[in-house]
Amino acid sequence: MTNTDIIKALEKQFQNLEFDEETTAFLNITVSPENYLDVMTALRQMDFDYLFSMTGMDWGAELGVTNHLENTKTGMMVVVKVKLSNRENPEVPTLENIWKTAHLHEREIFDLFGVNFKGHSVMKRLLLTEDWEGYPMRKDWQDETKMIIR
Amino acid sequence: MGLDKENKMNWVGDSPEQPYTHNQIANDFPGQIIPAGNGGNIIVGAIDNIINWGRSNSLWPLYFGTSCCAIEMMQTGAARHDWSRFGFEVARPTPRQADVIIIAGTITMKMAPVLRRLYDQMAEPKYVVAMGACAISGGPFYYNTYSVVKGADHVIPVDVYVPGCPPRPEALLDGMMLLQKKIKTESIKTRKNPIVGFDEGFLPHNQRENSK
Repeated sequence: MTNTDIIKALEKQFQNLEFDEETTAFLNITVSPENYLDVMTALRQMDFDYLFSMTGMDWGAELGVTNHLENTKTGMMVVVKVKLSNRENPEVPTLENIWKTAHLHEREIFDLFGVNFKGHSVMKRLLLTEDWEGYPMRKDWQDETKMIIR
Repeated sequence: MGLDKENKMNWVGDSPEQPYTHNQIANDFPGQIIPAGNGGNIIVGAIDNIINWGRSNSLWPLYFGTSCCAIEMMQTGAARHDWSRFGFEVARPTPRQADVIIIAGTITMKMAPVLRRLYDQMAEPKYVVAMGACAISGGPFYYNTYSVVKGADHVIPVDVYVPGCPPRPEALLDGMMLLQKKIKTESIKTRKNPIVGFDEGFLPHNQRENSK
């Protein structure tokens, strides 16, 4: 299976997907939050069985999540990005039921970026203390006592 | 300072009617006064020397390695540098049995209450060595970090600072020997509890006078 096959298979099922395979090493797929869970399920059915990285993002105007998937039989990798324009209450479905490793990744992203994963079993802080205010990895996070900005 | 109030006794010279003179005795002094010149001070000095010699040559450190400085601390304890030559070898996993805490690594906001509790649990006399840039000032994490305490001396009072990132074992040995020198200058007459008055002096970095 090549990148072109994946693009063809996904375009058959979904609209409004953005593909980019020229600027990076992997095939990049940008999806909307509505399509996110269905696209990930479809990729899982194409034997992408390993979610090896899940990253919270802050692109300024929007928050987001970047997933790296690998097919461990063929060694093929794809990147799936989802952009969330609502910074006040960013919501995206959980991937916990597809890849179990997403459980801890999503808790960490919730902790540091405040992205709320709908359907996650334990959506609470992982690394920071329970009474922490705000989400420190966001670009606009500020705290005069805790952080000295230079 | 809160220190003076702690140590004050009810002296005769305290009231304005009876000004203080050197030969007067406290009103409520319970014992008998033996005049100076009989060698009493020499005995106290000799006891100081013996106590300080014992303390400074069996400093039991507490294991407190929170990052890469702990690797250098382990190397200082290992065969090549061998800090047991100076009496530091009995590293304890419990604060109840330790004399000195070597802060070897970064202190995060989440770790700070733990460090303070460990320090409070140690028996007097207790000493603190801040090892490496992180424990001194936050070091590489001073700017733009949300989670690091900017120096362990915000949490507990520090006796010796050992700079480096991380310091070499020789530097840590030098710092520990400096601490021994400091202990040898102590006297049972003048020793004060270092934690008294420490919390009153704490200010966050943005409220200090010399902050930007």
